[in-house]
Amino acid sequence: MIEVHNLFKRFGAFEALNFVSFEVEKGESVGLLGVNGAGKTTTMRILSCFLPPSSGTVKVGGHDVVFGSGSVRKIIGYLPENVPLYGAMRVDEFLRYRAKLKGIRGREVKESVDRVLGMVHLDGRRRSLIQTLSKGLRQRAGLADALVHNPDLLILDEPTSGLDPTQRIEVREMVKSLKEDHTILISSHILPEIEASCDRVVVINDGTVVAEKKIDELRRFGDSDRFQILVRGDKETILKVLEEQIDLRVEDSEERATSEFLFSLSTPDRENGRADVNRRLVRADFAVLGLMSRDLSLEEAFVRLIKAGEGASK
Amino acid sequence: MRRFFVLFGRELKATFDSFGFFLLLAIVMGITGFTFQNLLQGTGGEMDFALRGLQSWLFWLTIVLTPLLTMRLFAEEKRSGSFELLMTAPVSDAQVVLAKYFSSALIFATFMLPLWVLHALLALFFDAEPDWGQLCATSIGLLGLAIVFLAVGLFASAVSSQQLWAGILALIGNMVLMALGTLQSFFDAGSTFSRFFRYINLSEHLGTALGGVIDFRQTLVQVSLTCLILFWTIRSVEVRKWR
Repeated sequence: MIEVHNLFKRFGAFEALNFVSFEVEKGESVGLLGVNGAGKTTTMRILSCFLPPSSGTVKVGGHDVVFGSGSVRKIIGYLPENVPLYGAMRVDEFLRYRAKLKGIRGREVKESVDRVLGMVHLDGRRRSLIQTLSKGLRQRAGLADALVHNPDLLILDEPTSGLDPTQRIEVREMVKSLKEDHTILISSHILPEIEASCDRVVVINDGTVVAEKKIDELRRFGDSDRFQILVRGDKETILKVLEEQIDLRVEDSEERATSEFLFSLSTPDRENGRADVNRRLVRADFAVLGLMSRDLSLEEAFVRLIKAGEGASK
Repeated sequence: MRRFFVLFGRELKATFDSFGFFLLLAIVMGITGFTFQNLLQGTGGEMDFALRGLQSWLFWLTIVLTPLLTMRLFAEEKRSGSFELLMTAPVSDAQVVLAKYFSSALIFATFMLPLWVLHALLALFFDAEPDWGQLCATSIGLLGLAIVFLAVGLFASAVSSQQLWAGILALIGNMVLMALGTLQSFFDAGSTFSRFFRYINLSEHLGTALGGVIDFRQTLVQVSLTCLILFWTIRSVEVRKWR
């Protein structure tokens, strides 16, 4: 559905995107992840034909965004970051206008507007002036606009930015419900949002793709095995035993019950690290009550990826 | 073409729904009435002279009014961010520019209504005998001038990100266009340059129209100028693609 090859974008002397390449298959839900200023919005603006690339090839639904921009714009639904709507229009009036602009005709206009108003739960506010809507409701109206012509691809730029937690969850749920019928590209720097809505992420930093991974892979990112072990015994003695193992890093420890401690550990030895720790503790006569994998939180993985990307570029 | 009419309709509705438009119309009507009364007193009750004087005041109205009508068209879309929403819909840059242009031309035409209403009222209630032919020529002459100025205003709005700057730029553009005609006096009468500047002398065009004559050569110049400025406007909207 989306093919981006060596996408380069320059604004004057500033290079916003440096040979970005990624693909999104039809039916996929992909998150474009990156810190502010990483190049997410520029990428989305190019995909939605608002800006052209300086060089590189970008195809959406098989159409080139420069030479077939009319065809591309027909098959995408785009929600810009700040949801710029016409405040003086009423919600249904705005959606009728946008539906007609997107090529919907006659009776289908009303049907489409009714359908999307139902989808985004704005039925009750259809006659409200857009300027009187809260930020969350405006976001829904923007989403309704993106959906009104039932596009194959939804491009959502920071759809929950500036929303309170309740509104954020509502929008997130809405996006999740759209996964079945649409290919979705969603940009964000809020990781739980990406986690909840996407199958895969493209991590972008300083205009460069630093990783393309499934959510599970992202969590396991890194070159060390991370796990937790629950041990009964004297904390100081346990720590001494653990410190004997070369390369083992004790990241954290907490007391779970009297004389029961949970240690968060990491080791570069993915093959034998856990077994060695277990063996040492048992040999030292400690009771090992449990041992479990400890994936990275998405935030940790993200920070590591960004740092890895920065290190590579240096 | 369908999308052009959707955009055209939205522009018209946005204007006719706004309080600002009716306020402006009321101000224009008020000033028109006030100016007519003053002219009537100044000419000792000679209605024909007063009406002719009124028509020439409309020339100044055209210069000032056209920037007011066009300054928001692109600048406001850019300021609010809706420009992005508009330009990612399946519409061409030319469709957007032309829809905005023709809607502003139609809106300008509504400002001619007070002049026609005034003539009709004078004919109905004061037994005046207005020169309807001359009124038609004046209206066409003013519209001819306005189509050029509206194109200038739209161009100014397309290259500005703030309404105020768009308005000021359009006003300056209108003045420059009016001043271009005076350049003919710097060249020998009958020379190519002199004739060129005479042809594009918009003041002379309006003078001809106020005299009750429609010169289609002048109309052709106005339409050509308009097309040229609209072409630049479309290019300036496209410029975002090449920055």
